[in-house]
Amino acid sequence: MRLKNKVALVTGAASERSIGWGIARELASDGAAIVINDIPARRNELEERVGQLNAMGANSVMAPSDLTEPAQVEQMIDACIRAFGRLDIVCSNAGMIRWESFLDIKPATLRALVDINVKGNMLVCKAAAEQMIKRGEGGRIVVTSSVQTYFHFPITPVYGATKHAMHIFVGSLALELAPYNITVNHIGPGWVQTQMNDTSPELQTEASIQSQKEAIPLRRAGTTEEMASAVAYFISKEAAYTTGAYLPIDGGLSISKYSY
Amino acid sequence: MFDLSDQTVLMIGELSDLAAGVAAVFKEAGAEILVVYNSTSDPNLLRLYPDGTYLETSLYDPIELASTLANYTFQTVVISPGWFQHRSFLDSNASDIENAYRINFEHAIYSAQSAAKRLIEQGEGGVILFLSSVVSKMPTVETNLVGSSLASLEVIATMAAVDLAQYGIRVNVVAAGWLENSWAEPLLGVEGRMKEPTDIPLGKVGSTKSVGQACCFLASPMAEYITGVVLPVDGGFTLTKSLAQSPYRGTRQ
Repeated sequence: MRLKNKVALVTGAASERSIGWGIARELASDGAAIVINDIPARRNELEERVGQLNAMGANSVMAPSDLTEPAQVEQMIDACIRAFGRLDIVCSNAGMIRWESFLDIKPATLRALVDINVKGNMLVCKAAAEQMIKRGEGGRIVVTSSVQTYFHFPITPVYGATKHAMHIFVGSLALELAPYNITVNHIGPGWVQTQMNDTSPELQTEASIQSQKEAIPLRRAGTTEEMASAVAYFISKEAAYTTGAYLPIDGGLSISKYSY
Repeated sequence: MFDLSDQTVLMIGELSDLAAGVAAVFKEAGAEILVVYNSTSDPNLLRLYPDGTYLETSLYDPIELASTLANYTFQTVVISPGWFQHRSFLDSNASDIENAYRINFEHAIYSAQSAAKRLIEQGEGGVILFLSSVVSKMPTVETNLVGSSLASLEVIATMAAVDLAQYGIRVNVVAAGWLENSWAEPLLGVEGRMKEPTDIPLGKVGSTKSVGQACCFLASPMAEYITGVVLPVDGGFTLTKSLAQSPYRGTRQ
């Protein structure tokens, strides 16, 4: 119970097959009180997840909100404080992907991806950091970026751009928040079989799924639990001196052009 | 595009078909070519080089190297590391490690150091370019030693860029992708391998000329504010992932 008396917020955690849910379970199992977030339209799923966390013996509440709206982000942070009196850990994980090649990018896609993947993360980090600074006891922020932070794919140019933006953002934030003992790091998931990836055009047939596996040196997709383990490290006392770091968790996908 | 007729280009290091191709592009741009090559290089490679002045020396010996260079004036220096070997990590031995680092790292540093001192003596700044490979950025199968030795060299190059800026000397690296040259022979020479390089976004393997053109750009006044960069010339090879099997499946014994 290394996280006893700690309070963690995890955004983008409604789906039972999401990295956010994996993180929420990991942190709850280590004793943290959990606030889980997703968009208001997924309130019912959030309720189910809260029920599951509480059944594990965790203390959890939900805070549905649209992270592209500053007022709703503030309300979410307020909800954390109302429920548990403090906020120690923020896993800014909510994000979305669209598969559109550069020449097919639609303005609506561009706006939506920037809104949630960039603006949403920034608003969450800002509101959370203000709360942590006010309390004066430091804090931990972990952003979920992507293996696409450094590795590029032809049909996800906007997604890749928003994730690379997070790399620069996390670095800047780490510098600015270091004097307050708040660390900021990000994880780069490779291929994880989440609900978000269900509509990936590269994962629609057994043959293409097999090809994806063979392109990964460890020859399989990652699990949400494995992503959560990296988050658990970044928020641990063992990682207290790590800030501004990027950790890919991709089975070696981004090492090279080819797997062996 | 480039008029480098006011330049003498010192090509220093190991003889190679890549360096010869680069020298040819400089020659086409009007530069005089001065080649100072290691005495252990294969002299047969000299036939690939354009007309110029050729001097054999020992790159092991910075003093001999300095006395050789003292007799010449040049504006651009191209450092040519020449060690390339496909060998799996498990098969690489101490001798491979020593060779990789002696040739691609130590010799290249001595060469750059001696040339930089001569440029400083000349007092008019200059340009130092390191020939490298994208395997320093993206490891590929069985390039562990060439990749790591060139990666080390690239760090030295960027540090040298900082140190030498005060003398008006710019230092940059040109990192080649797959080329139709001897380094790629294990790939290109085997039936079915890299015959159709669809894994290269621009759809073809590069040429030594394409690397030479990048070198000419970085040596030209067009690049007068560029220092400490590693410029890949790889047709986009290192940008993305391939679902194909590696065209080089290894030599593991």
